[in-house]
Amino acid sequence: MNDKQELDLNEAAYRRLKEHIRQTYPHGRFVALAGGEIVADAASMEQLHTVLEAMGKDPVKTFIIQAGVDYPEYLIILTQDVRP
Amino acid sequence: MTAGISEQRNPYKGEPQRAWLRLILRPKNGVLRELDFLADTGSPCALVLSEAAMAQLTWGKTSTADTNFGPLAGGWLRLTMPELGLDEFMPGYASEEVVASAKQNSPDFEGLVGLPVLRLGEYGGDADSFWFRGRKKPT
Repeated sequence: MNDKQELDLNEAAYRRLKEHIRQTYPHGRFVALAGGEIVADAASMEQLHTVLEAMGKDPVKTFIIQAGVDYPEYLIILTQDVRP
Repeated sequence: MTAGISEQRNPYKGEPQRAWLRLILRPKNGVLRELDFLADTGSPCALVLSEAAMAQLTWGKTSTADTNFGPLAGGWLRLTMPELGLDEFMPGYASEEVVASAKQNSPDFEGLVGLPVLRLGEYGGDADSFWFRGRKKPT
């Protein structure tokens, strides 16, 4: 699986698990997804990196969100040169 | 009581003149990067920078957003400006089109800083300059 396929898989998993994550983890907790599944969580980004590295995963390539935070799927950037 | 509220005040620059901030980003490994961002209160994205800068500075991937500039790849960035009371992980985005648009105003703009960062403190402007004040530090 290449990076784009892994990202797509984790994005889809996040959309599917978003409400579960909101209900399961404290607000703002950092949650990592890999292979379409939740693989780790921690109170801070640095702690999450430590956990992921101990699991043999590269945190920089891992999909990370914060529990209870909305990440909009569509955004409008108003500055200057708006494309169609 | 509050004390030591730091401020960054920058004369407008570019053509046309635009508000901007100089921000420091900390990568997971490597040296701090100081970059100038066009300040855009209309942007719901904390930070938008080039794909190359994102690759150097990111702490992890996060959600992609579709925008009027096309899809923007998400990544975690660490804003580190202790003089302004800021040490925050923020979701940012990579977009060559947005950066190119900012550079049309001034070639040294490396991207956009939007409302999610600006609202971490106080911001404003007058006839000559744009300013950002850091968090109030309790005494």
